[in-house]
Amino acid sequence: MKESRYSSRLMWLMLLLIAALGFFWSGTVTITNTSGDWFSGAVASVDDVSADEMTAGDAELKLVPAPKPTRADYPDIGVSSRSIVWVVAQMHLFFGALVLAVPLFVLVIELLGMYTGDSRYDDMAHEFMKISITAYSITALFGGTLALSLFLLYPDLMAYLMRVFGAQMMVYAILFFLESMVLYIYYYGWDALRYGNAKWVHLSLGLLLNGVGATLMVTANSWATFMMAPSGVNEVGAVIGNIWEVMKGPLWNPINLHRFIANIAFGGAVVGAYAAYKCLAARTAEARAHYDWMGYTSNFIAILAFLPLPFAGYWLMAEIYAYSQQMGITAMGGILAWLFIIQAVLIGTILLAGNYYLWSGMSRTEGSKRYQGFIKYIAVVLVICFLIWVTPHTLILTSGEIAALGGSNHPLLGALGIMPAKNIAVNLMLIFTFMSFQIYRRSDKVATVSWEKAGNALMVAIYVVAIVNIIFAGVYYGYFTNTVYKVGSSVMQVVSTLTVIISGVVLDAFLYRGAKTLPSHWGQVSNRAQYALFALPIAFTWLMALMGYVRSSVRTHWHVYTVMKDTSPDNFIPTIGYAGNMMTIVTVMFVLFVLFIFWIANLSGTKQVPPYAVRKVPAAERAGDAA
Amino acid sequence: MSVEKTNEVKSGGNVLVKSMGFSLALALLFTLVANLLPQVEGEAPVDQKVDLGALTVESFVALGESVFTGKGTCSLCHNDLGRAPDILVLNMEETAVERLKDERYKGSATDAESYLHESMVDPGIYVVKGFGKKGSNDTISPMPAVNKPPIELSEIEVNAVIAYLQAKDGNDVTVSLPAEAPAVEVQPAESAGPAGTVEEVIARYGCQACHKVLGSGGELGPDLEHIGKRLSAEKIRQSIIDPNANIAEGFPPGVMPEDFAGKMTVKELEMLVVYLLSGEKPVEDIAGSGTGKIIAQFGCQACHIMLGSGGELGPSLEDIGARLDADQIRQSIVEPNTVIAEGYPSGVMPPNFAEQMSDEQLDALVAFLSEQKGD
Repeated sequence: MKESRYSSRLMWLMLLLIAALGFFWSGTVTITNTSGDWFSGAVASVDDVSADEMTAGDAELKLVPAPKPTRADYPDIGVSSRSIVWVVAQMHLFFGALVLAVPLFVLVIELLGMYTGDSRYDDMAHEFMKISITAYSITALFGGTLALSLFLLYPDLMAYLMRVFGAQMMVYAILFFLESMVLYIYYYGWDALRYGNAKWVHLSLGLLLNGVGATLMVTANSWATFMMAPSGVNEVGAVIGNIWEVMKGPLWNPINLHRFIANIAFGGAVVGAYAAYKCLAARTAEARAHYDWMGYTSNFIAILAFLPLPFAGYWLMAEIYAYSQQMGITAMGGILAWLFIIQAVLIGTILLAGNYYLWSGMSRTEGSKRYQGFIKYIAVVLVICFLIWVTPHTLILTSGEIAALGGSNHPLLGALGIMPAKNIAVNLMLIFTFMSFQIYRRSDKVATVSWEKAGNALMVAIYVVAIVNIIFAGVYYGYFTNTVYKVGSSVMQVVSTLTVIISGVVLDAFLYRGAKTLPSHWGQVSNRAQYALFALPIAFTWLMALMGYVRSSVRTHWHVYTVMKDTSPDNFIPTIGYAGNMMTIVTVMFVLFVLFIFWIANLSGTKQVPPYAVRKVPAAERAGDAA
Repeated sequence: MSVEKTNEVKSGGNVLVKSMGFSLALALLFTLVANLLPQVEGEAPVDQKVDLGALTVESFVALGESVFTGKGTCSLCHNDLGRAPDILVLNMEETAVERLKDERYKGSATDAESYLHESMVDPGIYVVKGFGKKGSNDTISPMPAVNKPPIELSEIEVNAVIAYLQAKDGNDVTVSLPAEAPAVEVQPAESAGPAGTVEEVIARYGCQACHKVLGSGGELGPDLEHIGKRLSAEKIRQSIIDPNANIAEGFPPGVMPEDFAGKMTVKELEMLVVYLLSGEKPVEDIAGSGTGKIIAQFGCQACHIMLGSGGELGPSLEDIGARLDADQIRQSIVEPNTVIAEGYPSGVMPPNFAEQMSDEQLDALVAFLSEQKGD
């Protein structure tokens, strides 16, 4: 089947685009660094001016400390300010992630369509953009509402951030205009720039759209990371660096990478739900086949982006620990630690749903029978690993709970609660998810190369070595050596997992070159599989809300960590239940808005039958027919 | 055609209801998980107002323990999980002595108490093997200085933690109780001897932290401006050396420290008694514009930490120059209740310094405070 061959091209193209955007970022960063002085009118480095040269007025201008608002300085509008900002910010982030991600894989799909000459790719990419275009307006609306909310409810904080970031905020606004213009030209010019050299113009617009979008994202990220780990300011928050020094805090790039990858996974999951909905509602086999294929592609994008996400998350947490061990432990071992149990539930749901969808999808081709025997073993491993992952260790317990448990961790399950066990579980889940993915992709092909057996043996060997290495590193270094080695061992595990994924993709690319393709039938999949595509965006959305909350809460009672305290009535960390309720509220709100977007997308393709085309049937004639 | 359309709409409607129901059920499942977990709120740390007069060694140790597990967030890392040395298990008095002998130790501490203090405010001085920042070969400590943000322990809290660490293993508590406001030590050579004027006596023993005297002071204790009209010299003397013998109406017992008798020289005590009995404000001893004398004269250290010591009824002025500009500092002296520092009550600082200080004194004090950047 051509689609699976193209899906491998899709994967390579996506990786290429990611690399290109990474290059673009580094270029942007360099340009900003070298020419960033124009930002620095009010924030020039004091190192450039000697104390003698600096007048009192200069010092006052340049070294203004962060404000220290009292509780009375926070406006009280009768509703929790934090809750308002929480909901609005989360909605803005959900839609922001969607509109940044969709053009990214749309560009790849469009490129694939041009490369293959298959117009279905182009049509699908256009249909994805239809979703994104409405989402873009909603993003802007929530963005504006968020800005107003913040200025109204947290005036001192916003005044401080405005002072710190200065003209960069205006650059952000200008980029937003540019993003809007390019987006509309890209979407509405789709058919006008569809063929020949014009297509290259359209693709270039797509690249520009993604470049501007990515720059917007990293710019906004710098505000969030400054609040977590301020840089370019002194101990009391006075700006002592230029805008580049303010932006390039220790957490900026880890957040940039994490959000970039997560956005793709999230965007893939949301458009996958759209495809699932359309597939279930389809009245014709042709429509069902089309949307089944669209759902498969979306799931492919979501899971492909999701697989490296834990490693980006690991880098982020490692940088948080390096910046402030206290902050890291607050997140992972302190009051927020329980949230990672919910994270395990959510990621477990995503992996189980993703795997289930792949297993169900194997019914599309008869060739899958060769691999169906593996499924039950993969399922068992996934469930066991999932259970290990959700086993807690360091608990905040009441005295009654401690007494009932016989200690702060369970005597038998305590060993499974610590990170080494979880690292083993997570890495195995990722490896076995990749295995599902690999056998799915192999199910409609028969290799024809002479070294097929050797190739398969090599693949099996890589799996075995990686799995043994992951378990050995986790058990030996995790339980029989000290903390330093314990942390170091996770790098070995990550490398093992990545080796399996990369070598699996590369090996299959060669192994199935010129392979015989078996017939497969799009649309021949159970309806239950489509519900797995609904589970993915729900779990992703909840997960984004959860991890965004953790990221924000590690600042505890600081607006800007160590330099500006949060003295508002909401400066405490709420209970997990309260936070969970908020996350469900924003998830349900997001789903409702997404349904609105789907409805709008459908509406644009609906045409009312003209009145003149409807023949009026006289009542007498209708009565005669009935008789 | 219309029948087909109707079926499509019905099908779409069913799918919508089912997919929404499924999505909602899944979201509620996650909510259920969140609500089944232990529900704990993380309160922002609240500065404890220590009643200096009522402190005992036991209560000081208890304060240290609460700081250790609470505001200080020490137990976040110093536990049995291997993130940092488990100082609840270690006898820190003995451990400190061992570390002082270690050739890797480069600090200036001379005994366990000073080592513990140093290890908290400058933890990078000595990094315990195996607990340094990753890649630093145990030369950089991951521990933050506890007297700086984000932890920001006060000197009293740091000492309370030391007292707790000493007491938990049955060692003697060597750290001094902060029962009295620190003496004014503007000029160490002078401060070593007995106070020369009644203002110095009042400043050294922090009388204005609780009493209004010399035109200013707190209200935790009775106003002493006209105490001579109510009490005899003998009663005044008794109220200083045995303050709980007779408690002024409306004021709680046990607040005023009982150890003044052991600390004041006879000359100081008598100078104070005579002054309080006379009820007249001496004018001939007004100090010049030297900053140290101004601080001593107006008893700033009774409530503020400055020049390395002082009380905590008001904010520390050690870094006031980094937080406020000169105009703001001037305003906070002449109109102290216009802007109140976060975490401190209004109405405590006397509003009449502007009347008592000369312009030269005020200018000198403002200039001095503006230079205090906390370095």
